[in-house]
Amino acid sequence: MKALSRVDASATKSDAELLARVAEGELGALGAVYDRHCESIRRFVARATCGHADADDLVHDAFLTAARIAARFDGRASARPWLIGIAARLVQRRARGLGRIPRLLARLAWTRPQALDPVDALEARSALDRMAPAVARMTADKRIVLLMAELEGMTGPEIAEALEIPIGTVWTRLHHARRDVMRAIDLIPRDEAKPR
Amino acid sequence: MTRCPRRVEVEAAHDGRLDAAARASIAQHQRDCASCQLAANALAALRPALARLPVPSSDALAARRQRNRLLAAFEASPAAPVPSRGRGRVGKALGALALAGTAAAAMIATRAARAVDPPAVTTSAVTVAPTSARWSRYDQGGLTLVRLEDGELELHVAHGSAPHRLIVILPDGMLDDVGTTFHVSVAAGHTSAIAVRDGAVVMRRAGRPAVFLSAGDRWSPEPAPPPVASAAPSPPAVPPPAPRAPRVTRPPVRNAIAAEFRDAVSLLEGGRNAAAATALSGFLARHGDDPRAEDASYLLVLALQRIGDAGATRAAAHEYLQRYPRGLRRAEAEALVRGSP
Repeated sequence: MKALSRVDASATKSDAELLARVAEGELGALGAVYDRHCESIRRFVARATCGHADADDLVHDAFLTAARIAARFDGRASARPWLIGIAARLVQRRARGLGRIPRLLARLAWTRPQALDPVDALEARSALDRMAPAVARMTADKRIVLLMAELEGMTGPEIAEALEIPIGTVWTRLHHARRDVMRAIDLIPRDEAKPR
Repeated sequence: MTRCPRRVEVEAAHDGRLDAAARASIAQHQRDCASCQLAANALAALRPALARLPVPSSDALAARRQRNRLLAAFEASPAAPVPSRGRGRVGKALGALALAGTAAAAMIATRAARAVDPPAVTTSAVTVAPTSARWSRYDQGGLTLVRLEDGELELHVAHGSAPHRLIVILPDGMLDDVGTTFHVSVAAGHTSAIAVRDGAVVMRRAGRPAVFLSAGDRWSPEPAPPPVASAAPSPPAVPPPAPRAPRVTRPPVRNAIAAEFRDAVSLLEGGRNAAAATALSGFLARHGDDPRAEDASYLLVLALQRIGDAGATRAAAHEYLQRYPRGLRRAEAEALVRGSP
């Protein structure tokens, strides 16, 4: 039986202190880490999976994995980038194991069914409705890097470390992902001439 | 407008990749360059735009339930010795491949390898029949991990009512079972052959694309490069062959079935939902045992949903759950049967 202790005192403890206690098997410390970060991890996973129904399972797996490898946490101020990295790798793994049609499913998940209502038809022209399919169309690898950089505020080196990929790969994926979204919502023109 | 060749520097500056001098240079250039101004504005606008991506709402009760589920799972998990931070690159790669089973993999690694030629081992879900192998096994809940270090194993996963997952850890990768009977061989620290008799597996090796193998498929690794001659060689008369990808041989009849599946998927991608539903129904009727049948069954649900036929969608989701109680899209199908979006 793992120890339940001083949950109320956990609010003042740093992530590193809490994870050190998790590594020792303290249940209350894991609860405190979960309370602190679950919403941001849930948002990240929901976006990275394009709102797929098993996002909750991935969040669960991410925290459970984090608990099991808590001793490896490097002690930085916030555990959020580390947790995002664990969640990102689970999302990648899920995308690779989902079958031969993960991108099709992602695309359909964020694409509206036939819009019969005129209001829906008008809404369908909004930037969001053009952006969401563009994000869903890209590979999970590119989407994850885009979300980590733009929405989670992680630096390139942090992303490279979290995903165990070369920094050059991070910049390449990020550049292509940004270009796809910017074109989809007309932040940059599609018909721009290339430099000579 | 012509795209300025210095636009790449705008993105580099945005990401903090430039030193002070380069940053000042591109900032000055940007003031007079419409193309670079456009890029800078687009980069600044991207984050608020992406923040509008939809996120399903979560109520307090569901969050509480999730929290309790996590703590119960943690409490029930074995108190595995946690590896230190100083793992080697290979250990890290294996950890990345089998992240979900990290603790279990660590446990299996600490167990002594079984003697060569142990008897066949059976649990309710997984049967392992070693021909001549050095291997070990770890079972926990709905997961079986098998580590094959050398030799050959024949594995079979029974489809029961409870979901069960099998992962085979190989010296150079891992096999993720999708419900199947298959044979795997390891020699000299490398996977030397895989033959799938029933169902399907996914072969993953570090740094290489995953390979999906279904019934009848045989996999063997790419051939090793020819040995380099020690003495000063004369120029070869014939250029050396280009490196070849791993060989996967498939029975020819599968090509026609694969094409039929691809056509149905193309219809769905093209928004021809009614035609896609018809094609997918036909595919399921003709090839219900094909490894793609689960995908087809779920895509049929999506096609009907996109047509707007709620009753047929629910019925198809129910049918999916009947056929694939441990299916990969179980959660979505259950939500549709319950009537929630």
